[in-house]
Amino acid sequence: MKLFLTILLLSFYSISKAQEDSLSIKKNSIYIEILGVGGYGSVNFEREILKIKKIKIGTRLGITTYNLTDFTTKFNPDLIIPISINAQYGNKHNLEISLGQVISFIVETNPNTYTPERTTNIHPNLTVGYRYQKTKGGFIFRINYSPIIEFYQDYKHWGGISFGYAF
Amino acid sequence: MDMHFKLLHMYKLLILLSCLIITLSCSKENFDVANLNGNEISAFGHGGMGTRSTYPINTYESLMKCLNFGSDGTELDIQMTKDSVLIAFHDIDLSESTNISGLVNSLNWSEIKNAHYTDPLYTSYSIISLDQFFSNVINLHEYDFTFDCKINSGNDDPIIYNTKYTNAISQIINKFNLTKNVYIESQSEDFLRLLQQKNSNYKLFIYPNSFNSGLEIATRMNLFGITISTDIVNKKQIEIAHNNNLFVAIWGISSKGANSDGIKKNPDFIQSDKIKNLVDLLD
Repeated sequence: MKLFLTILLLSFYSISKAQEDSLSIKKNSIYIEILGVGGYGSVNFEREILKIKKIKIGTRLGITTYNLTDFTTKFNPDLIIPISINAQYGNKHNLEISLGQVISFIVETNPNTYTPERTTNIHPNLTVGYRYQKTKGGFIFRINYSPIIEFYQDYKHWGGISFGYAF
Repeated sequence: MDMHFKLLHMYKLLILLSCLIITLSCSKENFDVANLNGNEISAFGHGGMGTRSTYPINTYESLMKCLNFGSDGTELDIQMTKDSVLIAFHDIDLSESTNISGLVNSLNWSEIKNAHYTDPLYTSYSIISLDQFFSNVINLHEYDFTFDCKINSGNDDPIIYNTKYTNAISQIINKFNLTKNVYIESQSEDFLRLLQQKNSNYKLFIYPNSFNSGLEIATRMNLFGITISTDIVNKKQIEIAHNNNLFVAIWGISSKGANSDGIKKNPDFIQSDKIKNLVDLLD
């Protein structure tokens, strides 16, 4: 997990350098994913870090929540953060595959004190799907199958649809 | 100068629109409530925050958030484990919504208490016993609770099962001194009759398939009231129940509009899936 996070952070760091070299290719994208690895939905930023002919490698960082307040009604949001590394093949119509982790910070009940308690967990996932995105940027559409191994224990079939913009 | 005039005009328009939006969002409906409950409608959550919440119904999180939003109380689905522990849980089989399987009455509490709900993703909300719940509600007697008793005797003798079940209910009510704060609803006349025999002060509700059958049973058994889906009862029928000295609780209220429509029917209690909105409307 630490290795995965390190690679991901380095990827995000290196992207700023990479963009300066090729301004004509739109490397950033933001999109809203309905369902997907965020659970019910998430807002995501993605950055292309490598392009070799029709193959593009990118990294994703997202965020979402279930509840902004805990059961005492105090502001204490659940946080769900999808991170992943993805590969796309194609020009406008792309096959997309990604490997990622979701880091969840969910406020639940402490079984001893019955007070709100934030629990942190990691859940690996895989995404396979179709992605519409032109090299010059603009509208993005994604549809994918994204199974999740929740708590590294339970395999769950899942999927998502995304709409966004590349720039 | 022309540009300046246009900007000023736009600015005034913006102010006007803002005022309009604020006025519309602040306007409140007025309801003339006439019922047996002191002409007030008690706002109850449906299993806590309701089926539209990200918290599974009947979890501690859902029930407590409902109470903390200022509701008068909450409805809970009640089931009894093999070792006669009352738990707040809706489904017949645990596999429908948790990571374990089996009928509630076929497992002991020790086998259930470590289970967790499987939805939503990344969460692990626990099943709670009534004892755990009531032990941790601060100012418990400020709230009312409706027990929706799910009766699934499985292979057990129904008479023995019902006797154990009603004993468990009596024990929990007595332990927390909740006779005045609990309403008990069931579809089973036999079950309600047993409870009636245990304590004539219990506030018992029949949960019928139609208003007419509910009225007949509640009148014949001298029950406290009728719990009924809002889809199959109208304002006139609720008035008839009131004329027969029967309280009425309605459920199946799953939107803000349904809250408003439900209030207009003049029930005594509303079990809502949109409890915060209901509390705001009745405030």
